[in-house]
Amino acid sequence: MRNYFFLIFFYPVVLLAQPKGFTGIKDLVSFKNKFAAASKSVNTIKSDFIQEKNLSVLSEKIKSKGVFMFKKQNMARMEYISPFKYLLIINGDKVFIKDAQKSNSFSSSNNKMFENINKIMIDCVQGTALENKNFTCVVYENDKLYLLELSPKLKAFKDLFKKIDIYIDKKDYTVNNFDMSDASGDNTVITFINKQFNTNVTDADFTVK
Amino acid sequence: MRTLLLSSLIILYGCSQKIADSFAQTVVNNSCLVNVKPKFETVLFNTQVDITSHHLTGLLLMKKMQDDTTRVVFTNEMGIKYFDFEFTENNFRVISCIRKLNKKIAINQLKKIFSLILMNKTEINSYQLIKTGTTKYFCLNGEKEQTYYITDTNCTKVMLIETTDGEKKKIIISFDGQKNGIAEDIFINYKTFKFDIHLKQIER
Repeated sequence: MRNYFFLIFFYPVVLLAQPKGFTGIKDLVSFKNKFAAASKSVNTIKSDFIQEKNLSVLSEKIKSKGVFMFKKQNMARMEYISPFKYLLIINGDKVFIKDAQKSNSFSSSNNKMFENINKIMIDCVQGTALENKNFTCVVYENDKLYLLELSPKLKAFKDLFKKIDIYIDKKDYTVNNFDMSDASGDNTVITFINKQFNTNVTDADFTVK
Repeated sequence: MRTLLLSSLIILYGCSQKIADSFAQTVVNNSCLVNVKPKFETVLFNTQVDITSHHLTGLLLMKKMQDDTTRVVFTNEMGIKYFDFEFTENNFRVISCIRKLNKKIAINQLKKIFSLILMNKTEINSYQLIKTGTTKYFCLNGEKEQTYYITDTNCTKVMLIETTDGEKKKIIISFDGQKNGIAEDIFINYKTFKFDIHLKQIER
C-alpha cells in the first residue's frame, strides 16, 4: 500500500524531472556494456571544441574555442585558442596549466576540483562515467543520443555544479557535449566537433613541465 | 572671502599627502570626474589574480543592465563561476559567490576595488580637485584613508587611482589604453600585502 502511495504521489514528478526530448533508458545494462566496449577501441582522441558560457539573467554568452586531446590511459589536454590562450594538461596525477602570464604544475590530488574534473573527463572517454562514486548518475535516451545526468554528491562540488549533463552519440558512443549547470541557472556547454579517433596523438602532447 | 579661503584650506589640508605636496592646490568643480567615469555596455576581461602564493585566472564580465545596475561576473576559463556582484549608485549586492571566496574581508576588498573602477556618481561628487600642471588630482578624505583619482588635464581618462592611510599608499589602480568606454588594461596592486589583479580587455 505504501509503495502504491509512493508511486501515485511521485509519478508525475518523475515525469516532469525527465529532460525534454528524452525518456528513461530501456536497457541500462546493454548501454553500459556497449559504452565500455566502444571506449576500449579508442586509444586517442583529437577534437576541436566550442565552449559557450550562458549567463542567463544577464542574457550574455561567452564563447571560446580550442582543441581537445586524449590518450590512454590517463592523459587529457584542453587548449583554448580563442578569444584567449589557456592550456590545461592532465597527465595521470599531474596537472599543468599555462595562461597568458604563468605556467604552473601541481598534483591533482592536492586539488579536489581538478581531481574530479579529471576523473569525469577520463571516465567519459573510457566508458566508465556511470561508475564515478562522487556523482549519482541517471541515464536517458532519445533516438539519436544517450544523456548521462550526473549530480554531485560532494559538498565542495555542489558549490560549483548543480549537475553535469553528458550527451553521447548513439552511433559511436562518443561524447558530443558536456553541459555543466550551476545553482543560479547558468550553464557552460562544451561541444566537441571534428572528432578524430586513434590518430597521431603522442605523449609529447601531454608533457607536464 | 575669508570663510571661503578657510574652507579651502581645511579641505586641502585633509588631502595634503606626500604625493600631492609638490603640486599647486586649487579647488575647482569635479565635472572632470563625471567625464572620465567608464561608459561601457558590456566588456570582457582576461583576468590574472595573484594573491599571496596563489595564481588564479579567468574571465571577468562587466555589464551595464537596463535597470542601471552594473554586474561584475568572474568565471574561470572552463566556465565555473567564482562570483557575481551587482553594483548600483548606492548599493552593492552579492548575487553569488563560491564558498572559498565568500569571506567578509575578501568581498569587502573586491567591492572596494570595483566601486573605485566603476566610479559611483554620488561618491565622485564628494571628491575635491587639486589642479596640477600635467595631471589632475582629486581627493576624498575618509576617516581612515584618503582616495585619489588622477586624470589627464583634458579630463579624457583616469590614469591612476590611489588610496593611502595618510602616510603609505595602500592600493594603486593604474589604467592603460581605452576601448569600449573603459581602459583596455587595468592593474590593481595592493601595497600592504601580496594581492595583484590584471584585467586585459578581450574582443569577443
